[in-house]
Amino acid sequence: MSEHPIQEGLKDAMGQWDHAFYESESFVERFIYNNRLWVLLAFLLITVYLVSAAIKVRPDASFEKMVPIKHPYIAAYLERKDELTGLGNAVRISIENTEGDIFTEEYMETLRQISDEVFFIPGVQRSGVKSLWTPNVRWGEVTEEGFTGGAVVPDDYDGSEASLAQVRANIMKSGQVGNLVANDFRSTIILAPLMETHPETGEPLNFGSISLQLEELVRDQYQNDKIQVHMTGFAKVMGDLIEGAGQVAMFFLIAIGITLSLFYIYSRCLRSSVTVVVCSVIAVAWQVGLLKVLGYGLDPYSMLIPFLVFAIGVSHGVQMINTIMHAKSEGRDNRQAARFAFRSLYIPGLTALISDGIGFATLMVIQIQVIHDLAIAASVGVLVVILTNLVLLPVIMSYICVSPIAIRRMKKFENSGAYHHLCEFSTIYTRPAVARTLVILAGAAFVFGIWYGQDLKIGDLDAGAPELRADSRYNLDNRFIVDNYTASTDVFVVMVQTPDMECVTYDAYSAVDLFEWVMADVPGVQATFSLVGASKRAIAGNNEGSPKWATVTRNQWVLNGSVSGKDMPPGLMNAACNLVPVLIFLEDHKADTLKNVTAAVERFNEGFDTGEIKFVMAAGNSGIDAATNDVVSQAQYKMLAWVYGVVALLVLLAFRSPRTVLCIILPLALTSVLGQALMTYLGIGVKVATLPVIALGVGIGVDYGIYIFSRLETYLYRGLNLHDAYFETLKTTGKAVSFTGLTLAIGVATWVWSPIKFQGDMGLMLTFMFVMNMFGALILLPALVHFLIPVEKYRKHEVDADRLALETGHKGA
Amino acid sequence: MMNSLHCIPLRALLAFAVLGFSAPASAIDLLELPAVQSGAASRALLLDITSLGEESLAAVGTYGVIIVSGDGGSSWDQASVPASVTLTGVHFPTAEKGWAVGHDGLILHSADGGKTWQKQLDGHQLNEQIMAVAERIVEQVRGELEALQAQEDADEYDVEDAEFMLEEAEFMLEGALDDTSAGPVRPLLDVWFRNENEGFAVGSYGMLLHTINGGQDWELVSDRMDNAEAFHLNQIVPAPDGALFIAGEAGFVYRSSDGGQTWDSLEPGYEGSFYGIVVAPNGAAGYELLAYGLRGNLFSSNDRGESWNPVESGTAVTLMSGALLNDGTVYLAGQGGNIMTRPSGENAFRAANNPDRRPISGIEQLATGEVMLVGLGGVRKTDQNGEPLASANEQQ
Repeated sequence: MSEHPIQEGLKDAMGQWDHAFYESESFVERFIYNNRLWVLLAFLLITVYLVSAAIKVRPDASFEKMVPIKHPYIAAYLERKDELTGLGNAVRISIENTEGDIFTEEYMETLRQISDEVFFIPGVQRSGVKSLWTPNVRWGEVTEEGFTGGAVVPDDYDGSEASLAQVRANIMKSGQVGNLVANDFRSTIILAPLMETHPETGEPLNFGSISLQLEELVRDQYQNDKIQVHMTGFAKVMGDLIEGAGQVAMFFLIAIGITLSLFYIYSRCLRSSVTVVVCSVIAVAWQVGLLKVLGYGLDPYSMLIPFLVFAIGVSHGVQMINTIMHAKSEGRDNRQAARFAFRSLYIPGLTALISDGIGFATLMVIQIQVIHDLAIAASVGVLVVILTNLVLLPVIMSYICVSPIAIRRMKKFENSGAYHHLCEFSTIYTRPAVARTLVILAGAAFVFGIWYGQDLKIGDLDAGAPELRADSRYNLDNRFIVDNYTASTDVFVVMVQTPDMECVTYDAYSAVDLFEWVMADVPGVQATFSLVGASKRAIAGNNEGSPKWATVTRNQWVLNGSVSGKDMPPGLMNAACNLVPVLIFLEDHKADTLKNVTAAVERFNEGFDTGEIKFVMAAGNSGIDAATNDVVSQAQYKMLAWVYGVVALLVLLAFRSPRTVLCIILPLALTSVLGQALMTYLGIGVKVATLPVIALGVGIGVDYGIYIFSRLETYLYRGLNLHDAYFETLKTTGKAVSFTGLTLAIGVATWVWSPIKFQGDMGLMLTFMFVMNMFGALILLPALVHFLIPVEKYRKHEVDADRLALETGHKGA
Repeated sequence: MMNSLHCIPLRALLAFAVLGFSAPASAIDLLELPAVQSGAASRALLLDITSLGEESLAAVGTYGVIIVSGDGGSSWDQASVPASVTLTGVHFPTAEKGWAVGHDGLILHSADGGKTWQKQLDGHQLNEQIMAVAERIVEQVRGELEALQAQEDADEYDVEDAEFMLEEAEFMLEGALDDTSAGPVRPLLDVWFRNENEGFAVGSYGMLLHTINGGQDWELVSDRMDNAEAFHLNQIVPAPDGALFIAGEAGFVYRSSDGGQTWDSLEPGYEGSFYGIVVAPNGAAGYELLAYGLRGNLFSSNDRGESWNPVESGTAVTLMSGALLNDGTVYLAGQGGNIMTRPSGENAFRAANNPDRRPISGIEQLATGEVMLVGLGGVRKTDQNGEPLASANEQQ
């Protein structure tokens, strides 16, 4: 096979390389390779330091990081957050009697015990805890003498049939059926509002530990055949996310194992396989340690970045080992081979990694803290890979090097007929007819992707906690509560602002009442709840319960009386009496539903002059969803524009040819468009979790294009025609690119089994994009080169000499 | 009618000037804001329902909602209404002409079978009448006193009595001034028309209004009743012999045997409120009065209200509405969705098996025998025994 004519030309080229070897070493290279032990020592010390920092990283998840704090809705909410008490952040614990209804002595006793357990969990706002056993859950009725009422479980409760009958009667008069008591009387809820900070430490409340305590103290202790525990609430979602995210560590180990075996199969060299994996793991340790040092935590979103860093590390390690093996096979000694690899790869490697890093950094245009953090984590990780896999890896390899057997095998494989035929077959993409067909097919796929992707939805599409899987324990618990109780868990809150001390006036009441009525007609709205509604009920109550009186009135005395009763739920107005939250309960949190609501509020504000009474969006989980959707839908195209803009610019800087930019970018664009079509097909919405995927896909995908094109160009410079140049490219880099694509894809594919749904979605999307990008670079890129690049130009050497130096790794120095 | 509509701002201003009271106009004044057209109208809190004959129905409720159905309640259209206050009562003496009453002293009229409504009276005008009545009483008493004082041989005690009466009247005038200064706050609670010309509206604080010209003029005639404590009047119903009955607050029932000119106070012997009276046939010419109210209290009279006996209603939940069905069944319903029925010829009430716990505040039977209910959550249907039937509303 060595008779191939190109080989002869190449040998000449290699000879020139050797000749120039010692003259062309850069300062950086000289510095590193003259101080190899010191470099190793420095890496060791930094690694020890950063690992000690990394192991202190704890999963965290804070509410404010997950929301777009600059969005007007959220800004308005955060401004009034302290005054909007009793909104949202509570845990609902439903205790179900699986063997009958709740009116048994045994059930009531268990409920009392659990109620007490919950009461004493630090961080639970004790005065707000509600269950059948708490004295703030009251029944009331109108009698000839006026109101009478009392606690639902009477003081003289003794568990007897008579007592239980009394409890049943009291529940019927308490208005709690559907709220605290299930519609079928087989379960009741313990409602535990949470404080902002831990009462003893004063630190922000750790949802993970609250969730864990609930599991240990309630579910583990009391759940049995007769008693089933169902828990929901933001803290539980966060707790389950953190718990689920912990399992990701296992996927990480699996990914390492798979990569190691694949690498061994690829290189047949255990030493280099282990070195690449170790270097990549060091990169991960550095990245996590640096995050800790920089003051960041590891939230469930950025928890995926270590996978990415590992995969990127491996992919660059592959290129490095590949080059070292080739250098070694050409008879260089260990040290020379490593230096040669460093020299020939650090420019394209640096270009690729920097464009990855900048590609990730563009995610910072999205005003959501978790995406910011993810962008920082990913950029930091990529920068770290430059050090570990472009610097450390060849230094280590200069000591241990690849095993001679592996090099023999590699040569045997690369010279084998099968490999030759495979590469030869793959060059058909450069044939005019095939190239034309490919470009037409790609164009058709592009158009199809755009057309199909039009239905791509914004936001979450599934019920319950969309972060978790539909069959996760949390979502099953949530479904139980939704099915058996009336109150919805999707709440959109409009903050009604009035002049100071004027929240209980006819002006405020009539405007709010009208607003609630207008909202009742909006599709997806189940019910509304506010101070005004509660007041109307109290006014009816003061009029012997007659519904004919349940209305707003201009009589200030009546209004004042209606808000002063002890049955008035807390949190319906603030202390300064200038803020009235209106809770709008929704059927779901689909983007369309949220859009209907926000559009209706805007229409109301335009259509009615409410004077000094202002209706301001938005709080509540659905308000936040709406703001997030808004930001995400705007950011979606902005982010794409930035990512493509930055990557295109970097490619332009590196290759100085707009045609080259097209060759490298167009396959990526096809992948992005098909990725969106796939999201549409799979019913994955664009949301905080999936938004970064396309940027990550583009950022990493561009590597393949850069590696392939730069190598292809090198051969074109040497005067080969496109077919031959591509053949050589495939033989040298094609194998590495294919391997890289597979490694990256497998690294992220393991996420598909994550208990966290959005991690699964990200994994699926990234796997698709990495594989597509790989094929794009290997198949579509050469076809595009056929049409776009005037190959003749290279033969005539009409390109400047710097470019040649850049592409071949020869620095002019 | 349009005439009076145009007069409102002027009259309101006049009233404020008279009362020395000028509140800044509310940004949203539900009395002036035309009712918002809403797809949720048939799910609103509805408070009363009436038949327009045949298959036609009209129901009223919160936010100025009036809905009409021409097909026995299968489908509903929201009427055009010039106000957004809560409406509490509706009655159509003919298929075309009807009246609705509500909060803020509002009386509405429709001449087209309930499709469009015009304002006939509101609380601003009502307040003027309240003041006028109070002033008239003061003048009258003062006149009597002056006449007495003018007499040389006037009895000393008579003069003292008259002076005391004047003080009382002036005190009442002050009270009226205080009350009306809060604006149009008093709700009307029920309306009934004998024919398309003569009708009555009853309401809070003992308000009784009378018209003999189809509502072009409404006269406040509360002083025809002995109701010094101004108890609310909840419902007005006619009896077969032409008598009129009003169910009131604090256990009062009022009866007029002369078409509403004079009223007797009856006390069935209960201190809670009565929300209504069902008039059931009893024998050839007689009828039974069943006054229902707070906490399931039910009182029966077979002698035009002269004597009353408590009746076991079978429930301790407040009964808000009642109706006599075609077959003689007495149908009562109330808070908590409780429905109690007593078939003709039987003595005991029995509870319907109704899982829907939403309060019921209005009942009307259809020609088919089915019973249409309104209340919290809008309209729904049951059979004659109160067993729920799937209504159009729930099928949606």
